[in-house]
Amino acid sequence: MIEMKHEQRSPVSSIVLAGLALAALLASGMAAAEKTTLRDQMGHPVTLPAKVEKLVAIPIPIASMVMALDGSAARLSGINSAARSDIDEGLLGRMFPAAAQISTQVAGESFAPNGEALAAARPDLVIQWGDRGDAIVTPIRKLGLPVLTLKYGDSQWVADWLRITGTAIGKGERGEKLATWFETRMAEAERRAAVIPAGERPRVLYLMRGRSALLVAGKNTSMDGDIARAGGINPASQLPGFAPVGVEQILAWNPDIILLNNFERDMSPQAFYADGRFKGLAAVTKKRVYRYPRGGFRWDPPSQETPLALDWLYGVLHPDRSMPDLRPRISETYLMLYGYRVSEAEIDRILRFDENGQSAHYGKRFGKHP
Amino acid sequence: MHDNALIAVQNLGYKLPPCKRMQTAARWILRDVSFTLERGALCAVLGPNGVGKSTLLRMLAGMQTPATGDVIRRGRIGYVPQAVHPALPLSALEMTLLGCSGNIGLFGAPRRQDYDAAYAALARVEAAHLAARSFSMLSGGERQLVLMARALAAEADILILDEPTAALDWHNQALIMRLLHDLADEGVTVITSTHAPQHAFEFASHAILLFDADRFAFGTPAEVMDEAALSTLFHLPVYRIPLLEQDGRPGEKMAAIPVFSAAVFSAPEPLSV
Amino acid sequence: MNSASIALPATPGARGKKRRVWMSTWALATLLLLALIAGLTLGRYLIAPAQVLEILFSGSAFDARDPEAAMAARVIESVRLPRVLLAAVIGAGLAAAGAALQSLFRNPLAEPQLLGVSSGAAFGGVLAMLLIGDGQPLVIGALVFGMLALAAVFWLAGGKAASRGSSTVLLVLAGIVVSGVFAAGVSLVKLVADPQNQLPAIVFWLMGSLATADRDRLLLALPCVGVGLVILYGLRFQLLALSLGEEDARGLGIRVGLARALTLVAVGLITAASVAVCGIVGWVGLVVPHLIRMSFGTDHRNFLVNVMLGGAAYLILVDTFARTATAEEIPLGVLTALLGAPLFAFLVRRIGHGLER
Repeated sequence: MIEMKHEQRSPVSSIVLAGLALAALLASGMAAAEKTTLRDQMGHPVTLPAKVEKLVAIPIPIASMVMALDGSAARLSGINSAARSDIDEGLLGRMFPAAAQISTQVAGESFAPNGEALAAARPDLVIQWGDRGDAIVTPIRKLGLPVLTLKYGDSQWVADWLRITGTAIGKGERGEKLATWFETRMAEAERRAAVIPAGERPRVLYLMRGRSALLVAGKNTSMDGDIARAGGINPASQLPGFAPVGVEQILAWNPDIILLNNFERDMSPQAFYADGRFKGLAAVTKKRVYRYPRGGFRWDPPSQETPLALDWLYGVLHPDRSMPDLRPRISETYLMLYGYRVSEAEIDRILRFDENGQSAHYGKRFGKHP
Repeated sequence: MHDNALIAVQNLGYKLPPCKRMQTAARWILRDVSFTLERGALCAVLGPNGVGKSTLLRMLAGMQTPATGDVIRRGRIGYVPQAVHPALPLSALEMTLLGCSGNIGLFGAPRRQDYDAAYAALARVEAAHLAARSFSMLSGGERQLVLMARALAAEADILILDEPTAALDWHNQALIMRLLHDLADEGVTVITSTHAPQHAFEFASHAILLFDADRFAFGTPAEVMDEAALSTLFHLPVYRIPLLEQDGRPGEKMAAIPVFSAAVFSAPEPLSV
Repeated sequence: MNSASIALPATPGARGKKRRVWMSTWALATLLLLALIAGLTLGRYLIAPAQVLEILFSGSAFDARDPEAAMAARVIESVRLPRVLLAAVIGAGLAAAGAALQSLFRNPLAEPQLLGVSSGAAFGGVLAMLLIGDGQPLVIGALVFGMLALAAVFWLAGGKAASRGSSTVLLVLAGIVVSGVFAAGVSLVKLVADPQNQLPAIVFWLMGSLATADRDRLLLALPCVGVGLVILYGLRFQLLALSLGEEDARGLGIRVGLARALTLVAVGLITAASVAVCGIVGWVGLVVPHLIRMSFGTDHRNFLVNVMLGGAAYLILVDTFARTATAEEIPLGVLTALLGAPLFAFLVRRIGHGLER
């Protein structure tokens, strides 16, 4: 997937680079004799500056991913404002207190880059989504900044995010290590789910919105893929993307389990159990409504924490099947990813025990065992 | 204002405000108009186009605030505008019913007796057959008749009409003028503007001539509508001849005959101001 | 004094004519009933029509031991019924508000959004979403700012000019100004809203939908829209007079200022309440009054009632389609525009200049 080649500076590229990389030159204070070219996830060749000391990460999960790869927030000079809630409300700010200082002005609505703020952040490299149209990428290129593009969709692609981002910041080895770990754990999850007979797969619905509207995850969403990987069936998998539906449609699907998102405030299983319209739904009568956990990053969208999310999801979907205890896995993984020792209380917070504690099997499955 | 007077006007004046953009100073349209009309009077208002007939009538009806002077009215006012342009469809019957608005409360709707009054009013202007038709689809003359019916349905004590005969043929002009005359006989005070001096001669008890902003004449048609006054009023020679009685002798009624082909006429000073 | 002295002419068929006028109302009431039945019978959760009727007429006396029957009863009672009734209330309200504004502004193209109340309510709603959250705060924010927008329109158009003839024009201008300011406010809120958390919710709400209909929203919308409708129906004759223009209406003895203010308050209440519970649903106020005019005439006795019945039936049918055609719910605002615009275009082409008749 990753191609690296070393090439001699061509006259053309030197002219282009001379025009472009003023910030890079200022930062590095030297002209590299050799340049590294990296093919990004959209297939564009990107010539990397010799040293990436300042990085802007516009895709939301990349902020925490860079901290995981780097063991620090020092390299980030700009992140998406939506990543800010992981720092303020999630565990990320506790693990990397310096992250609170990073500028969140670099991008606005729908990942549109803010030129002035981007220039002020003086990045050596910008990471951006590549599958949401050129309109959000071209302005960055016009500023003369090298752009690395990633694509959003299946959780499987996170391994490449790790490799590409790792290489870009000069932590290729660490990136490769985390990517391999990620792929091993994904394969493990898939093997674990593959043996489950069709009759024992619960119907699982993910609600991207549950309050202002009902928005379910359909085809080509990471949640759809993750539900299958955890041995569940998504009744909405025929709908395109995140699709609005009516209450009745949910009643007609009658899912066994409902997963709530990490994006809406005041979203909790309790609110769901109390809603008269959903009374009688299998997931409600059996108290199987759960809100996705949130640690260094939200567990519903793809990130370096997705393997933990898949373990959790398997535990929720199949409470009677044996699996390794999740709590020590969280401790190990956080130590490996962030070099951080989580306390038992923090694990309770990650798993949202205050909200999910009332739901079926939760305490037994994920509670602290004496 | 003595007992029998229904409308009294004192020193009435109207002034157009100055306009900075067009660099025009304030301009008087009417100045110092005074008169009194009694119950049952029929007063014709005559004057050239643009002299301020409509302005005077609107001030009398209380729809425009005068710059100077007062209008004292006694009783209910009915006003018939030159034309009404409804933006949305409504039937001639509904248009007539609107005359009863004064009887109908804010949240009310016309009752049985209002419908009866509207049908009767339409019948009186020979327009009962138009009741169900859309008002906007009527001819100009038919609309005028319906507007008259609307004024009748209002059961006003003072009826003010702005050129009610403008769009009508002679038969319908006669219909309207006779109707106004009958109303006056029934005790309604009628004030109507018109371009036909003949209407004033044949039907009116009083006439108001508006020469320009500063000059007006008020009196019986026989008094104020002499040849000099009419000629001044219309800027062309007007002859006044008596209509003959049945026995062939000149009667009291007059006819006004304009000479349209005459060269520009220099008017003598009017007699009574 | 005059009509009393005149012998009443025979008014042949006056009674019969009256009966014929109300025929259209009966027809529309039947249509509404059919729409209600369709709305309650159709849905993504399949329930046999016979069972629907059984549930409706037996109240909650279903067999609690049968979970299928219990679920069907809940679908009808807490999902479909509130939604269908809310559609009826909002449809009737928006259509009548449109008809009233068309008379008031003497413009067949006037609709509730013209006043700026929609924009104000939209701003209040998204502001509440931004600062507090959706649900009840949104509804209250929308209602408060909708009425605030109405007050702003009054204030802008009021003053000394209100007594002169140009005040309807002033009202429209004030509506445009207020609408513009609040629309900019909505954009501003969208700009500062969290793009992952709040923005999609805001966008979806602004598109207009009855998907979140429940008993609470119905109970909130019903009194506001109900009061508005009662006021508008009460003013039916005054609105007829106002459609002739301010001056003529005043000449007829209509209390123009009062009638206009009441109309605006009623329209404001209806619009704000409808934006609060289901976002901006356009075109209903424009399409329904014209459909009724073209099909059943404009007799003031039952025109507004016809418009209310027609609007209720129209929105129930459109919403039923929106929620049953596909598993994915089609936003109502999108559908009313998609359906309303061509329908209106067809009417304009077919009737042509007859529109102003």
